[in-house]
Amino acid sequence: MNIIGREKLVLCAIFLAIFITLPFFVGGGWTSLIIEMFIMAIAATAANLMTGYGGMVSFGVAGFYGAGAYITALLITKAGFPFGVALVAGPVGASIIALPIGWFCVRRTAIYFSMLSLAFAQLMYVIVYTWYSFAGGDDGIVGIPIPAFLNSALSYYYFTLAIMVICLIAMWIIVNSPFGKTIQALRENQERANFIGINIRRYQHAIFIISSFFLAVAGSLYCGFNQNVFADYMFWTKTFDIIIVYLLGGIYTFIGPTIGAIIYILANKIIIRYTEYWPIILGAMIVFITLFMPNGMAGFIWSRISTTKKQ
Amino acid sequence: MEVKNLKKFFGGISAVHNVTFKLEAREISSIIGPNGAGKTTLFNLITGKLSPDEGEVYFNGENISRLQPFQICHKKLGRSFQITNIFPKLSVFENIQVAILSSRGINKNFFNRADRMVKKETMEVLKNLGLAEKKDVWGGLLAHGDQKLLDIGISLASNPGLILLDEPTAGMSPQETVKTTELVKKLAKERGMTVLLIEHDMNVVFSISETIRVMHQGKLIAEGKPDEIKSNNRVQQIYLGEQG
Repeated sequence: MNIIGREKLVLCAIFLAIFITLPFFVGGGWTSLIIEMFIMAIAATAANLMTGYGGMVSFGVAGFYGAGAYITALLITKAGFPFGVALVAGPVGASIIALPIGWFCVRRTAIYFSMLSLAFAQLMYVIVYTWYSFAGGDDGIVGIPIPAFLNSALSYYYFTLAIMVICLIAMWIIVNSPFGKTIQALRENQERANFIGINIRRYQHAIFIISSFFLAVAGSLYCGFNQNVFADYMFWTKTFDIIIVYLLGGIYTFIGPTIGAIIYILANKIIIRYTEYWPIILGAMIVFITLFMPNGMAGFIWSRISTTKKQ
Repeated sequence: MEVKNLKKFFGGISAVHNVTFKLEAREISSIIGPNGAGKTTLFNLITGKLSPDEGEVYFNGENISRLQPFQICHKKLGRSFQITNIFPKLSVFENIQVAILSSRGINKNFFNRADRMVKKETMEVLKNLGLAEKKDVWGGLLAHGDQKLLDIGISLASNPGLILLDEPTAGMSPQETVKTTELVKKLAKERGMTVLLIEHDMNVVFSISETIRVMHQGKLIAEGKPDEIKSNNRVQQIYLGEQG
């Protein structure tokens, strides 16, 4: 099922080629838009490690996305760290934060897990939102300097593309490893997993931290892209953006969240030109997808491809 | 394995009351008894799903009565379930494979492709179960009898020294029942496994067991060879009484 076939490899190569050449054909506005897609693709794929693979629906994913962004921003502005170091420190720092938070969260299941993860993320939000002297409060942190060679949309585009490809490959390796299989077994049946010798909580804790790491990679990249960070990045609405993206794309395919990110950001850009009621249209899309494409766009497309192949 | 004075209360009801017995190595034995006799509760106590209120469980001389299920599994004590308990959206192959990976402690590996790992061992288990041809089907899409077999297969995959089977043939067709009984016998012999089963099908019980234990209202009321159990008055009373 997860074996990467020749078709998929070819498709990935085509997509990569398109994204490498795209900036030469589109304007600067589009370049920035696609950077947002890349960053969202990392975040949604990371969040889906928990949901689609581990069967754990976290309502607190934005907490770690924002933690990455803030750690990077603070290290650059307060401690004068070079951008590269701060970019690595963001995910590492967020993983360290995820260590105790994850420990508590995985001690609860189902909706209690979801609500507990939400509570921790909101706590982080409140801390940065109210702590003016250190984290800028509701003014956020603005004017974060980044190196000159990344200071154009085009160079940041390729930088983000490269990191996205690395992150997706890394996550792909993880979900196809014995660890990844074990996580999927947990999603399917925790009790049975326990009786084949799997320490449930330890594995859930591990995937929680891994997911937080990649969420924070996305957050840190966004910090460099926007050069400003705001407490909103940790707010629950950001979490729901990410959840909508992986639902749109489909949680049972690896590439689903990436496809979801492309559709979501594209749809937002196009629809918002014509109407200010974007959330209504988004809502209608979600209703349609959950009712008629329960496996998301990616699941829908793959099932189409496989049925036409059989004919 | 040895069980000593095991007790479990649910509210005021004593589900398992002072149960004591010892399993001989490499023996196939059964526990029978009417519904609600406490058989599954006893299994849950032994395998760590429930922890006993009183009493101890020893396995290979080690006290395992307060351990977690995953720890007990690593002591090479496996079990299957009365209500089929598999990984429905993993393929049949993956169902077995993940159990083998876990028993070998290689499921902490993040970096290598899992697809081809322990392939030979997995296929061997599947061949034994007669499920080799269905290896790419989702476990949850198998017919009921095959799911029961897969459940047993998952328990066998970790190569246990003792396996507890909770009504392995429940809901199976007569042919499937015979096939499963033969399979359990064959594997027990080949691997030198001790087998303890709960079973309602008396044909299965009497054809497979070297020792039979009878439970009634949480208590162990009889223990012996199949012939002794057949002629035991108390056992006859319970079973006839239940039917009458």
